[in-house]
Amino acid sequence: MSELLSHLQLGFGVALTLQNIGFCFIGCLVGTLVGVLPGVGPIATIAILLPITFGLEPVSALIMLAGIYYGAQYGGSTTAILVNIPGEATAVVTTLDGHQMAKQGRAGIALGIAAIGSFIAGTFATLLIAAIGAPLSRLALLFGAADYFSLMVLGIVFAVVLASGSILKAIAMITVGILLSTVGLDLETGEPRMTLGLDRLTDGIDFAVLAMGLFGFAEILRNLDDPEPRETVRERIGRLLPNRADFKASSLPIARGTVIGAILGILPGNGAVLGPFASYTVEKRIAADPSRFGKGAIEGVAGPEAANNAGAQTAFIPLLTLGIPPNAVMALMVGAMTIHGVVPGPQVMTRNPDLFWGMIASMWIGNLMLLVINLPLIGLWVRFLKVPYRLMFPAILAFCCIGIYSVNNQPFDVALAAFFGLVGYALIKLRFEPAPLLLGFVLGELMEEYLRRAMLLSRGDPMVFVERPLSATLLVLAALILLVALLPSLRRKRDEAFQE
Amino acid sequence: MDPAPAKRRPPPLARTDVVAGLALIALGAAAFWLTADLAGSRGPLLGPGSLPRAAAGIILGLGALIAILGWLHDDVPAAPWRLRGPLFLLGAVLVFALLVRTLGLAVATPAAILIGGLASRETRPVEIVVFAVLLTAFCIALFRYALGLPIPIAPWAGL
Repeated sequence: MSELLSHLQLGFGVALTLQNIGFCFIGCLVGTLVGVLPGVGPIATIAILLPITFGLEPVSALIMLAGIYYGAQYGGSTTAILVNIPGEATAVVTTLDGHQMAKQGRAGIALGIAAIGSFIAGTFATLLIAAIGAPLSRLALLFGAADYFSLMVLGIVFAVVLASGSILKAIAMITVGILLSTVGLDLETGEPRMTLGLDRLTDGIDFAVLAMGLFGFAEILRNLDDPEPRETVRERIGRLLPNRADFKASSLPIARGTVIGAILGILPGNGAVLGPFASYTVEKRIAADPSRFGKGAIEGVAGPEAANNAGAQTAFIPLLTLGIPPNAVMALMVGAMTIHGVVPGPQVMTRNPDLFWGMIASMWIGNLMLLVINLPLIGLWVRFLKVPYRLMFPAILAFCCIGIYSVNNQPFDVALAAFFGLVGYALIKLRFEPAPLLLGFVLGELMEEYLRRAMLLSRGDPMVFVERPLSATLLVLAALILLVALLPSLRRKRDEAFQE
Repeated sequence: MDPAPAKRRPPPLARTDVVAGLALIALGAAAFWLTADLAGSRGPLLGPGSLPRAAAGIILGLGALIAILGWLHDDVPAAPWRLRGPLFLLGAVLVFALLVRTLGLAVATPAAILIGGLASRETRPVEIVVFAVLLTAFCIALFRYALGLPIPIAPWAGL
């Protein structure tokens, strides 16, 4: 306990410098600003805004990126409630009752309870990360190369099972990501692999280039092809602060949503995506009158929003303690950390304690800021929502171009991102999800490293993966989950869950 | 979308999953070809070619499976590709890449915005020109001066 307190004290000491509070504030602000734009989800938001953190110190950059992430999440909820467009899978649930509330003139209350629920969930999740971060990091030090490899296999299996759409296509996307990660010089022999004779490819494909091509440019192309119908709420936003009855109705759903979301978020696969769905289902099932759901029930906004935010934050746990990104957003965080010379993993806590605890403390500050800045600024966000797409997309275009160029000051990178934009457009047309590709790309590099190291240590004996108890357990777990997910009866249930 | 009778299945090569599977097969084959000269496993140890070829093999297999399943079950017609969006938007990105070093942000940014603007039918000529000027000024102020990134603004004017 005292250890926890001293860690938090260290963290707040780092995060509460005037400079870092400033970066956290700017991050939350611009994150919300971009996240509010319809059709721009958290992944695209972080990819677009990544370059503005390049010039900063690593700690400040990560604090700002985390702020951008929360801002983007919250901005997505705002769009879901006001325009009925979910920025990403986790905001789908919020559109159900949130947009109905908005249509009834209770948009302000919906936004207010979403912010308050998110703050409570964020506070709990921050404490959880602080409490189990250190023990988990120590546990992670026991992991050998083979165990790491098996853990990543388990993570990939989770991500595949939880991806929306076809399982086969999700596996294909992850594998394509892994394939792309092998482009460039070989780790051990230094031979160029699949570089097409291009000098600039010997360092491999830059992560930011891939992300901005797939999520920046391709998203614009998608939106230009089929403009989404915008049902911006015409009613007044109304009062922001929920009244007593609203609080009474939402307090338990927020508590339940927080716990559900926090637990699911820790899963090595993309567990965070399940949180809002699970919370919504629970609330609907235990409600006295389930028929109110879908017609503007405040519980249907409060619970899932809390679950969403709790999961969004506990998803940092596998990243910070094991160095393994559980989803595409965390994969972006790995990319950002690498750019700043920080290798995520258990050693971060011992080697850069100020960075580790500073980031955790800033999570809570970021959540507080969202509550403080977003509610008063809601009028500004609404005005932002009304910016026509014909002006929005040239702005995104310009930002992405300059951003990619600034990663390495290489025009080649910009051209390569254009190529990945075309690839992303093809993926959308062929109904592939690009997010698993990004996850596979980041995991692929780590997996090859651990796989080859494990094989080297075992002198080429592949039995090492089943002889080590930890590795064997993880692999069996992965196999079981994949098997269960492929069972026809469960598949139908899963499809239903994503339909809902 | 299409008001035509829904029962009619599109021809095999116009079904989303058939095309998707074939695309994966092409990618897998290309990866095999590109990694042909890399050493695979040397004895018991993995070589530089091992993992890429394993991934390529999985992609080939999945591609075949998706294409066959699509041939048998898929009814979703492949979405039409539009030329205008990709052509002008990605063309704008390429123009930016070509110009940024030599002519700097002051030229490359508005050029990209104006060419990119052609990607949408809704773009209005006067509006986009004004917007390009304002946005360029904003980007220069933000990236060069506020963030201090070493991007050339106008090398021809010594900036």
